[in-house]
Amino acid sequence: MVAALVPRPQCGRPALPGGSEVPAPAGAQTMSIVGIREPEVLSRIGEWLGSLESFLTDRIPATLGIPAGSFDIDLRPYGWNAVLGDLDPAPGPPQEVGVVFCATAKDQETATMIAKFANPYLLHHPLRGAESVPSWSFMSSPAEMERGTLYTFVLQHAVRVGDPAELVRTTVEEVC
Amino acid sequence: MTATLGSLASKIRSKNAGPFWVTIDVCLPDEATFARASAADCLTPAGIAEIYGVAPSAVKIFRIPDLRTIKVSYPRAVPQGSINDRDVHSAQQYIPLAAQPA
Repeated sequence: MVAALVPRPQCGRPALPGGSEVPAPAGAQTMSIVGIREPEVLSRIGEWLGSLESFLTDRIPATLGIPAGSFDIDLRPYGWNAVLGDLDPAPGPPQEVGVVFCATAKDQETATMIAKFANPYLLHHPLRGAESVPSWSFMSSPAEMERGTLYTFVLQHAVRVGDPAELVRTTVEEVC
Repeated sequence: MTATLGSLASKIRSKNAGPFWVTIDVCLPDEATFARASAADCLTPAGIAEIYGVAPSAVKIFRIPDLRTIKVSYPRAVPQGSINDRDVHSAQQYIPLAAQPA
């Protein structure tokens, strides 16, 4: 790879523009998609998602023996605020929501184990106060879809150096 | 009724600026709207910090009168494509800013 070196005299940091960041494995991910069309749940969708996430976050370490902090679960309510999350300026009740559940762990086997554990709760999690156990709409069977390795960027654009040429190898050849 | 920044602008767009930053361009149709947007509370480091949950000191705002454009950059909450990233190209991060009064 060839990157042009752009001097930044004011801060003494060379920038490596365009494609110089290094993606590193951050784990493996498994996802499931469940659709919600029940108006009562949709009118309290934030509460429903919050109680489901709390339940799973508590129960995964206790039940599967996977330490808290070594996995991540994410409930993304597409159709409500999946794109912007809490930043959404107009999070009114939606007509339908597709909840994408993402489990990320150190390897695919663990991520899928978490997703399979979450499966019956994604399918049946009730609103608080519900009189019977509801069922929601999985998109597929089996519900779990393995996404493989998930990458994250780890190298910042700017590296602090004492000399702008410090990270550059320079070879001078006499050609005439 | 107070206008929103989105209704004032001819174009608002957002984009990833490398894997760690988001940048938003607010393009105004004329000098009057550019002046009005430039004075808006939302287009200050404190305003952007409030909307996007970032530190005011990390917010960069550039007002470019010749282009009648205001450019805002701030660090992403999570690196592009990493766990919990919901907008890989930061393509719709302008929505909360567009909804602000201006």
